[in-house]
Amino acid sequence: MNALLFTLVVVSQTADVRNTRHNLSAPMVANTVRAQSETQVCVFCHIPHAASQSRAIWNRDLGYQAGGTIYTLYGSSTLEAPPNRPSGASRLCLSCHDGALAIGSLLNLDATRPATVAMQGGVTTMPVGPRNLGTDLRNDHPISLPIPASDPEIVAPPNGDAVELKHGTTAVKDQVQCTSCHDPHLATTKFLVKSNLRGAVCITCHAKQGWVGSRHEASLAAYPASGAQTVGDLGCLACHKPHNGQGPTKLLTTQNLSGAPLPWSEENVCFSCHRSGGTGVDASRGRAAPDIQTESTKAVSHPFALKTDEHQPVFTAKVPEPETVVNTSKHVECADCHNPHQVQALPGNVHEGMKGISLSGAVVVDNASTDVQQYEVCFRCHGDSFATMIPPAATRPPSGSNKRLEFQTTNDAFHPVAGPGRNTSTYLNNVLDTPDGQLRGLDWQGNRLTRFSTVLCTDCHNSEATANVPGSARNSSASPKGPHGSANTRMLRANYSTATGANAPPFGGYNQNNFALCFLCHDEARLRGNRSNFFQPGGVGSGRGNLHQVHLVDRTNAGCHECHNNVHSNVAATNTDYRNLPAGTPTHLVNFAPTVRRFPASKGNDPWYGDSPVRPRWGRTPAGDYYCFAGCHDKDEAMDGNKSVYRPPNP
Amino acid sequence: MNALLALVSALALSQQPTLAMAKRSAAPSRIDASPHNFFGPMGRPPSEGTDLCMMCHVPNRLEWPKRGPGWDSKNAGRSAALDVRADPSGPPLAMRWAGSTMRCLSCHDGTVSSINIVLRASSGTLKTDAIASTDSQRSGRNGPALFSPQSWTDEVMGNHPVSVPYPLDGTGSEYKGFGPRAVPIDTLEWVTDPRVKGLKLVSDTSGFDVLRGTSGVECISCHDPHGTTNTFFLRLPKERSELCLGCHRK
Repeated sequence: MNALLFTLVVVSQTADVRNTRHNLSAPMVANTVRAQSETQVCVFCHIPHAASQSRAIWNRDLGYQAGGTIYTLYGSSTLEAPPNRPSGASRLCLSCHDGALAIGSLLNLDATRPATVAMQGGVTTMPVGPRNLGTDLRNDHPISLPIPASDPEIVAPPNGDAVELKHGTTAVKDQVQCTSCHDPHLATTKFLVKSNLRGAVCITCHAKQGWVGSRHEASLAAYPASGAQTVGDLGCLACHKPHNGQGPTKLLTTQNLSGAPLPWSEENVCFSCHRSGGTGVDASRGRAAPDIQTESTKAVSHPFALKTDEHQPVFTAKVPEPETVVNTSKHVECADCHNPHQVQALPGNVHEGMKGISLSGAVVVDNASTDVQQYEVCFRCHGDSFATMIPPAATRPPSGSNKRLEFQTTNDAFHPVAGPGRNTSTYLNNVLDTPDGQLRGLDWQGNRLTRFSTVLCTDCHNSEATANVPGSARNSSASPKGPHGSANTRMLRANYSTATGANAPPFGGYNQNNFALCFLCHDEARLRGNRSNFFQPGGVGSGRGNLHQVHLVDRTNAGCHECHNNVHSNVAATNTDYRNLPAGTPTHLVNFAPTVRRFPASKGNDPWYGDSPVRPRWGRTPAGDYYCFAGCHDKDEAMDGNKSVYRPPNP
Repeated sequence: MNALLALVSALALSQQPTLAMAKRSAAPSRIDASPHNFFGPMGRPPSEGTDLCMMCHVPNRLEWPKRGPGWDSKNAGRSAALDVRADPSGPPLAMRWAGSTMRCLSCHDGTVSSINIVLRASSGTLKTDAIASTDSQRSGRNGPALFSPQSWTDEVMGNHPVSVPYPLDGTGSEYKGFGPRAVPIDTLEWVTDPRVKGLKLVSDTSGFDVLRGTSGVECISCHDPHGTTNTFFLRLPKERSELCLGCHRK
């Protein structure tokens, strides 16, 4: 019994306010901020008589805070309700932590009113540092605000939880105050009311959908790489800093490193881990956090670094789509494609919890029942639904801008991103499918590429490291994957030259490297040689039996893009006259590059229709045979020779 | 057992500055040296007609000492519990003080300062309290008055609550009609029994036994008006906040 009592006494002594930084009395030599001689502990905050008018019988004159107008309040586009001027117990905390009032300035000290306690080292107000929040509270978690009823990701703490809502100015305990998370008497880390391991304090209120089980929450990687804590154990604090946060509104930080922190920018929050050696190896994954920072430094990358402090959170339910940005602010941040609270690692959904734009232009939300498709995330910027649409470059034709229209499955021809290709004829079977066809490798879901397959944007636009396998980039062992950056132009997974000039570099001769991208899926050997789907009737073997071979290698060194200028789709073709190809007719992704010229009117009219089209023509004869009527085939216009019209009669 | 109790009583009595002892013995008692000796430190009444205790205690118990017109113990509805409020913005809960706290406030409520005590108007040798040397101090505004006669709701704040329950033995208490036991008490916040260290709890019932469930805090829980070896009549030293931590586990 005595032993038990003794134990209890010891516990109570080690756990009380006298063993904390809030013991400002002189004997507490462990504290830098302490009095020169005063031995009272409670008196720095409380006094039983002549205190300020507060429930806590506060021994500090809060008059300087009158009205709270000295404070600049936290604000964010995602706030359901703006915080009020500091109220309740928060005012008491701020009376030291805003750095405005000397720590030793008391209303009443041993009946001397007012009084000032002399502090060690000449300290007066809170020394500059992380504990001095200043009167600008924009970089601190908001206080004196009620829990919004309308935000599903914010909930009131459950009854009995150590985290509690506190009084504001009414009889109801309905507000987040400093004391919701901190108990100033508690001998705990940062006076927290409970351990914040794995973000336990934060997620009491912040019920982030999908957080538990997300890649970040589940990570076993040490951060920093040499540290003892895992990313998952750090929880929210891996990216967020509830006080003195960086960035305009989201209390983010790049500073949770043991070494020199990265400079502030949104992407550097992610790069703190997602860089070379950013974390230790996650044993459950067999690797460290994928190094995206290096990707961002490649020849072409998504322009993460273009802007800082202009971005709004894009994955919250609160912010409506589209995000309102002006053209001059167009830029991209990691959070435009990934929701860090829900993200999964491949082969999981890296876009878990994101919103996207569907083929029809509607906002689609990733939730438990619906996975947002990758292309839907791309359409956020590379479609026409948002003001964020990437405009066509001045040096580029207007094609290639609106991917949402280009990948409509009703288009005449398109790469099968939003759905399988429309031409799934048995003829195409022979051309594309195995065992005869030209398609190589597996699709993104691990099945053989066929004419019924779909492809991902990232099957073409990806890190060059993913070109180590045929078929979908998803099947590459390279890490990181994804359209973060590439050594190739247009962030392509492999080289694809759109240079022109048959005899100019790189086209001094046929070079398969010029079209390495295409050949990842379209077997070069099948495209060349004795047979492809592009041939002249009756032609057998190389030569007229395979006009791909003729154009690419034998007669000219044309580039793929000269006839397939926009490989996304034909819908935006501006330099092609499709004759007798009514809507719905497969057009084999034939659309001429701007450099391909019309058949000169002076050399005669179209032999089937008798007209003189102003653009190079790709059409069908009245009998249904495909033909070209373009400048290439006029001897004066360029390319080869003397024939005016080719008629590859496809079935 | 009875013998033991008697012994304890005798010891206790021997330490109490009783009226008889004050008169009989020249040995200083605690009250002799305390500010509650209104005849000055170690002072003595000038005549047999007055004595130390009469300033507060009336031998025949007929009535409380009469104070200035500002104090009306029969109209205690005007008074308010110190800093006990139902909510932060509302008025202090109007409570009827009783017992010892009312005796303290009969001087310390600011309506009467020590110089204005009218008891024994003939006792011209009452010590003139320095803190009441100006008009404003006399009215209690700047003196050690607990609340202002000008505004009962303004300055009643800023004092530690009294006439409030104390969760003796970690048990929720009801005291003076306040603090129903249904209100959950975080017993970890409170010392199990402050009396062990020398603080005083008061019973809500007529008896003198302080029982869990009916125990409360009054002025005399922290102050002993008869004087202590500590400043401000404190029952425990303020140094190292021993007094505060005698009840509060923080």
